[in-house]
Amino acid sequence: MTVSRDDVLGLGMMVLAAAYWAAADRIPVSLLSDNVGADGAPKMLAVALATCSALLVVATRLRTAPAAGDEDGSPSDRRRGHLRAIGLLAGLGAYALLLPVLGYPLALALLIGGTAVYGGARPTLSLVAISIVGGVGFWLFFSKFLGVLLPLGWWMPGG
Amino acid sequence: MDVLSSAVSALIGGWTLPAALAGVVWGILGGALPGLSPSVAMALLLPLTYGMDPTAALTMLAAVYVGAEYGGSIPAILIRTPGTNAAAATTIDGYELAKQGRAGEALGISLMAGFVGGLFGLILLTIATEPMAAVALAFTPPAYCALGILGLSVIASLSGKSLIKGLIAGILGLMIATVGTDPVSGVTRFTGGSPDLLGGVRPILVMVGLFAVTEMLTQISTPAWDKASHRDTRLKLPNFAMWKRLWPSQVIGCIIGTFEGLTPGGGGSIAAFLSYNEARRWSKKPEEFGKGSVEGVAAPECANNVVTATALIPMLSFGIPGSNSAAVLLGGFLLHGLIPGPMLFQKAPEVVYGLYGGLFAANILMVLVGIVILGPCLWLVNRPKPYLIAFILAIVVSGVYATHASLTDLWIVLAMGAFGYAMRWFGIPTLPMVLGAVLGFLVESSYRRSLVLSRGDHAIFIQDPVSLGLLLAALALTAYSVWAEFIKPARKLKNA
Repeated sequence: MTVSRDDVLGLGMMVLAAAYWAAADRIPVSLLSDNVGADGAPKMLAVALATCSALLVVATRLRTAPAAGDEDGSPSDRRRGHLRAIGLLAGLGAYALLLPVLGYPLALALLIGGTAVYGGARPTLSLVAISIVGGVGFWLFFSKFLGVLLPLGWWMPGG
Repeated sequence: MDVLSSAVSALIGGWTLPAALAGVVWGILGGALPGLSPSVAMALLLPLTYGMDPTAALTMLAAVYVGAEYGGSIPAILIRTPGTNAAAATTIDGYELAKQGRAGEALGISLMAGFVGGLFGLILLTIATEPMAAVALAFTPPAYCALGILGLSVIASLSGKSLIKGLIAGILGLMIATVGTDPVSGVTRFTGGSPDLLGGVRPILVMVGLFAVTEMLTQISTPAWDKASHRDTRLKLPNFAMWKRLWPSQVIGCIIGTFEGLTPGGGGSIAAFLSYNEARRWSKKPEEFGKGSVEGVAAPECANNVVTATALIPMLSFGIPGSNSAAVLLGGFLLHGLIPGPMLFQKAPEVVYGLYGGLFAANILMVLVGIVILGPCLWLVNRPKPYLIAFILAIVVSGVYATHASLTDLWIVLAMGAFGYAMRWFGIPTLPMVLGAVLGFLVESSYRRSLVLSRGDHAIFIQDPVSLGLLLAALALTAYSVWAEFIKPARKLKNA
């Protein structure tokens, strides 16, 4: 018996439904609570999710044709593609971590330059200039024009 | 005649016209920035209106609302990132058209459909405020709950190839909406102790993550992504033949937008999704929906912009702000010593009629500003992809962080992006999840308030005539969608 993508999804959603129910069960009961309670809707949703997930698994088992999915390219291409996506996501995560440390203008310039290079742009001086202009330009717009308080980083005056 | 002369005199004298222009420009910019909602764009301008003439000040705020609701559609079409909640429905076919090299056409349709909707709403606002305001008062908690359920009933038709997966996505969205403070008891739920989550997960964060970040992850993961074809760089306004094709979808957008604008809390999102669904149902080419239908852009955009005017009806008549944007506008009235309500039309008619004139100007200016800025926008999205992705992500992370200066918001968007990428891999449609996240709080809070009022008796939902009507409409909509999606094709297959 082969395990299809929909099987994995269905089982994963059942686990999520169980975890969500367990989390809903830990919601404290308030004296101000109504008949439904703060945990009422979440528990109802957990049951609905588990039911739909079970239906999905059953439907997948009954279906003879493979489920439609994004099947472009060879398996190795797809694997490479997923790794590229994970890499970009890691870059965005690094930006979120570095933002309070390096400050907004520098972190954003690094994000712009890094993402462009990761996407295939050549690391030239003009790219460095575009990244710096981008970082400083966005900072001026949000900070000076919109009046948003953005972190400057330890290295900048006032940071 | 009083209305007309007051509106015209407000426009030709004083600062109303420049204020409308400034408001529209700012609104389009604010609406186009993912994360920055129309209400935030308005709130940022509120302090500036302090020393202004009341008519000019209120016109500027209302013009921001008009501009922002339109501006949200620009990134929705060009980069699959709705700038506002209400623009989420526009991404479905707008982005598909852009992918086919028809971005200029989609932007032109969205601009003109928005203009038609805005003018239609304004006419209603001017001539029918008094009788239509009564609709707002007919809305009780059961009716709100039924309205939310009516919105959720669209899930069936947004599910694509698998209804079960659509339902799973809808439930996931509803689960996201349960995060935060419980609407009745005030107990915190699923916040993990984070104070940033006490107010819940804002739907716009879910949308930006699911649409923008997911799209960028998908773009970069596609093997031949950098060889993708370039698109048109010219704005194309609809010609006569196109208008002829679009008018039914615009009528649908106008009707649904009117109704949703009048119901406080209804808002542009429900109007946009319902209009999209109805436009598909009544279209002569329903098969094009989801694959790049021009009607799929016109209907939600028209509905969005009708709402910008009709949402002012309950606000002006009773002082009921039906949305965050209307609440900011209400703040603008109060800032100038004006109290919205029945007496406003007696005490300060020149301000109200001047506002009507300003809104009329704002709608025309929206078209002019749109024509000027859309060309450069099209040029920008045709830059080399590595740079485009880098700058789109820069706009996304900046817009998201800037709204509340919150890193939690940023992490939510990244998590949603990753989740959206996984959803695509599993073939789960994202729109039902967005709908669930948008409507979850409305449905749960009004459902529970209704039961508090009825002491737990569910009959309240069928005893309230508005609620009953909406529930029947939701039932009919779901039944039709299931029939159209499953039974009709199965019968066709059997007969073939």
